[in-house]
Amino acid sequence: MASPKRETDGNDGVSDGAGAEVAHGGAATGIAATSASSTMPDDLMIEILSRVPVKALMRFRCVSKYWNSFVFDPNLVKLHLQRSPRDKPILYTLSDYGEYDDDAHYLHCSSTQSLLENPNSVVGIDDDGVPVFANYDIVGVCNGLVCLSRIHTNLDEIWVRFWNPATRLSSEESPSCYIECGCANMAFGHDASTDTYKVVAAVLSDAKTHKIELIVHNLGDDCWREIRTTDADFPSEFRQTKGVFLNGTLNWVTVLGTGNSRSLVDFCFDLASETYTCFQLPNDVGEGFSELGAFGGCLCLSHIYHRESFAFWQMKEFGVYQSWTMLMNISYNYFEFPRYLIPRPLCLSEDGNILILVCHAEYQLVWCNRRHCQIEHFEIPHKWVSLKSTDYVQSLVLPYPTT
Amino acid sequence: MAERGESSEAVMLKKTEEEKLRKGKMIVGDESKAGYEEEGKKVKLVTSDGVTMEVEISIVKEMEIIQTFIGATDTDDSFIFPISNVSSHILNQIIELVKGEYDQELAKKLSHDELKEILVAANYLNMKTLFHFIATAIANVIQNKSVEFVRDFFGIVNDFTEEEEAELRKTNAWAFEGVDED
Repeated sequence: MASPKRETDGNDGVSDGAGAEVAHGGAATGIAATSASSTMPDDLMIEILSRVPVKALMRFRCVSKYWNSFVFDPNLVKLHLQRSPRDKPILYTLSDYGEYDDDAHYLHCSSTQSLLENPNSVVGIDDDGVPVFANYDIVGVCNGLVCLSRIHTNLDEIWVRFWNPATRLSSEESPSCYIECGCANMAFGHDASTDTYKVVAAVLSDAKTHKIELIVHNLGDDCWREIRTTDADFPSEFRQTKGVFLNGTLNWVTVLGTGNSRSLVDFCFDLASETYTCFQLPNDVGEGFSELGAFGGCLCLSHIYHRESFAFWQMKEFGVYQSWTMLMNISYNYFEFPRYLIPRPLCLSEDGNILILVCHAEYQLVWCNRRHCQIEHFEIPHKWVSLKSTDYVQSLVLPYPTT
Repeated sequence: MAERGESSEAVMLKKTEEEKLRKGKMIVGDESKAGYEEEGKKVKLVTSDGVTMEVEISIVKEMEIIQTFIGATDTDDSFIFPISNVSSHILNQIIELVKGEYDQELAKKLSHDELKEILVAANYLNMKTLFHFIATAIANVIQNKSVEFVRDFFGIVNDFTEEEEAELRKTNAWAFEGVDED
C-alpha cells in the first residue's frame, strides 16, 4: 500500500546548505597518531577544547587526522555540553510568510533578556539564521540536537532524522512507521540513564476504533518499538501535536476517560523506564485550547477559555499538582487580534512577570507585564515566528551513533 | 579537573585537615594576629631545576597536592616539598598569577609555551582555580585562530594529504569564516 518514499518523493529531503555532511563524514584513515598533541596529554586537551565554541572545533577537525575524530570524543562532547554557555536558550524558526511561497524556515536563537528588552529583535538578526531541512517539521530539541520529522504525502508513513545545527551534521532518515490519516503526536528527548536520544510518537493505528499506539525510536536504531499500554489509563485523544521534554519525561495534553469522566491531563512519559503517568492539569482547565510548554525550567500550561481569555500556568514543582500556579489570565478584550486566533508563549521573564506571546496570523508579538498590568503589541511584518526550544545550547552531540 | 576523580575519603581527609588548620588558629585566640602570623609563613618548594623557593602559605594553600601533605605532617618551617614536574620559571609565573588574582592581562603576557606548561603544572599541583583560568586563557587564544595556528601552538604535525585536507575544508567551509589573522 505504502510505496517507498524515495521513489515517490524524488527528493531526499536535504535543502541547500542545511546539511552539508551526512552520517559518517571525515577523511580517510591512515597511520594514526595516538594523541592530540605530543606536548599535551589528551585529558588536558579535552579540558581546553571543552571551553572552545563548536564552530572553531569544527574548523580544528582539519588540524590532523587524530583531531578530525578527537573533536567528537565522547568525553569531550559530554564536558563541552556541561560547559557550553546557556546564554541564548530560546530557539525559534523564522520564515518569510508569503501566500504563494514555499516556506523556508531559518533557525535563530536569542537570550530571554534581549527578547524582553527589545521584542522587535526577534527579526533583527537575519544573518544568524541556519536553514532548516526543507519539507521537514521540527519535533523537538534536546542538548543542541534537533529531531525532524516528515510525513509521506500519502499520509500513511512517518520518519525522522536528527540534526545538530551547530555542527551542521545530520543523520540519515530513520526507518518509517505506518500511521493512519497522517496522525502522529511526537516528542523528542534524552534518557540520561543510558545516554540515549529517543523520539516517541502516539499514532493512530486503527482509524475505525480510534486506537492509539505508542511507539518509540532510539537514535541510531533501525526500528520503532511499540510500548505496551493498557486501555484503562491510556488517553483516548492526544490534543497536543508535539510533546514537551522536561526532567527526563515527555509531556502532552491529552484526554483521559469518556463521557462525564472525561478530563484533560498531562500524559507524562518517562524516557528511562518507558512507563507513563497522567498528571492532573489545574482544576479549572476544562474544554478549550490547551498546550504544555517548558519555561523557566518548569512545565507550563497555556489555556484559552472559550476564546475569551488566555491563562498561563506554571507547575512550580514537577509532578506536584498543588504547585500549579496561575501566572497570568488575560481577557481577549486586551488583545488587538481577533478571537479566533491563538497566542502562544515565546518567552517568560525570570521572575515570571513578563510573558511574550506570538500570534501567528497577524505576525504579532504581545508583551504582557503582570506586575504593571501592561500589554503592548509589536508588529513583525511578513515573518512567522515559531518557538522550538527554551533550553537550546550549541553542542557537539552527534546526530548518529559513534562507531 | 582532568581525571582527578577524588574519592570521597580523600575529600573527607582534606576536610579534617582544613578543620585542624582552623583549630590551630583558634588556639592562638586572637584571630587577626593568627591571620597575620599565617600570612607571613612560607613553605619551601624544590623545583625541577633544583631551585629551593620559599612560597607564601596563602599560595601553597591553592596547591591541593601539597596541602594534603602539610596537614598530615603538622609541618613547621623546616618542611620542604619537592615539585619535580615544575620549573622555577613556571613556579614564579604561577606565583605572579595567584598574587595578581588571576588578571586576564597577566595571562596575555604569557608565551604559548608558558601557557601550556602552567596548565600541566596546575594539573599536577591540583590548583583548581589556576587550572580553570589557564585552560580558559588557552581556549580564548585559539578559538578565533586558523588551523595552522593551532598546529603550531600545540606542535602538531599535519598528517593529511593535500587532497584530504582540501576536501575536509570544503565540507566545513562555513567554519572557516571570520577567522583572525595569526
